Amino acid sequence: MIVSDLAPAEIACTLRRGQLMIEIGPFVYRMRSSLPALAERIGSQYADFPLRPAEEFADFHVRVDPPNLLRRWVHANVAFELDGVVPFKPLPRAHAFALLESGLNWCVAQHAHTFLVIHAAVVEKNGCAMLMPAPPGSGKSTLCAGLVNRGWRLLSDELALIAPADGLVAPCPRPVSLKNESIDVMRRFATDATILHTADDTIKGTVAHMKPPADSVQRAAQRVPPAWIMFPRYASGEPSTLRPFGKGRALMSLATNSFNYNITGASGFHTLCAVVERCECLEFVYGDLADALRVFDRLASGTLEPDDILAAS
Amino acid sequence: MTPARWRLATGITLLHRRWDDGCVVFFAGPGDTQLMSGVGLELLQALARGPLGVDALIDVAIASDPGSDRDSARFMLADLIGQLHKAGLVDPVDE
Repeated sequence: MIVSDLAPAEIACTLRRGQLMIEIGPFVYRMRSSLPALAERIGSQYADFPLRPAEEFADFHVRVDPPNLLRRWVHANVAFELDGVVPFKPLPRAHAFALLESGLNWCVAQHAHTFLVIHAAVVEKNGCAMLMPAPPGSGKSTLCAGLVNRGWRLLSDELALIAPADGLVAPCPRPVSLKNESIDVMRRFATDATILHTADDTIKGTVAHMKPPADSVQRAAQRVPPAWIMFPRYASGEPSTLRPFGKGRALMSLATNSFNYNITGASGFHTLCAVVERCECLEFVYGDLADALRVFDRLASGTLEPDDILAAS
Repeated sequence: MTPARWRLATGITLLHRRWDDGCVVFFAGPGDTQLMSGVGLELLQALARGPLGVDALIDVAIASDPGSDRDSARFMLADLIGQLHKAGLVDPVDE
């Protein structure tokens, strides 16, 4: 059974009772909220996700609701809770879905220590995963959204989950977060995509979420080996350029972008070494999304010429 | 680099991986990870075997980078040891 098997009123009712159990990659989230608008957005963005029976085990018990009865009437704010703990400041009710998304990321980043968790987008083509660790504003999510609308599988737009035992990347596909200019870019680029305007005036500006492709959700149990570590950077007007990126620097960047490398000890180091060793590490500057995707497709199909990769800068 | 002898800080063991752009060293214990040159790794491995004086460390540096002279090795060593000491990864040996 998947979320879209439920009627909108059933989703709202199940969510209100705290019995909406959604399987997202290796995790099951039990969700609770009294907000009808949030139920509607979950119904839209998570339509293809499997549901689990309410009596089963859930990894995370989350709730988005007004923080208390008084604030429910005095303020229009809502809070994210994990097991009754509120880790972030409450936000305006209109930000509820964006808050939920941030909260779901936080659950994994702070607690999923069976994986090495890295802040990176991950996509897959031809059985090989590409990790894209990059700071905010680098164009990572735009590139990720563009790729998954052109045949690449979405593993995650925020969290690379690497299993230490075998070095495979575990998919955790969820809605792709788009910000500011990239929202209109993606609306023009992928006219079939379901892009939901989710919040204005956040700390990151305007936020929208793109529904993950159904195929990516259905294949969320299929783990894949990483083959590339790509460091993307959007630069307006620049041609697409690929350059080699040193493996030592790549490891340091992955470590810096990891949420739990510091607590994984030698196991985390060995895991990162194995990932970096098996991957081609590249930095990628792009100014045009369509051209960038052509480069990525050639990379994935093995048809790049040696001259296409410039000397290291 | 005033102290005469240095050693790896207590409880640290080294793990490392060499690549073309440098050596990544993991300091098991504190959990620090550093990217450094091959010479830096050789110096750390020498310290892991036991405390060494500055002249012996300069010998190690020159042996792993035969093109360098003692003055440049001393300068590099002061910089590296200073950074590692600040990070709590090497300690001076009390005479």
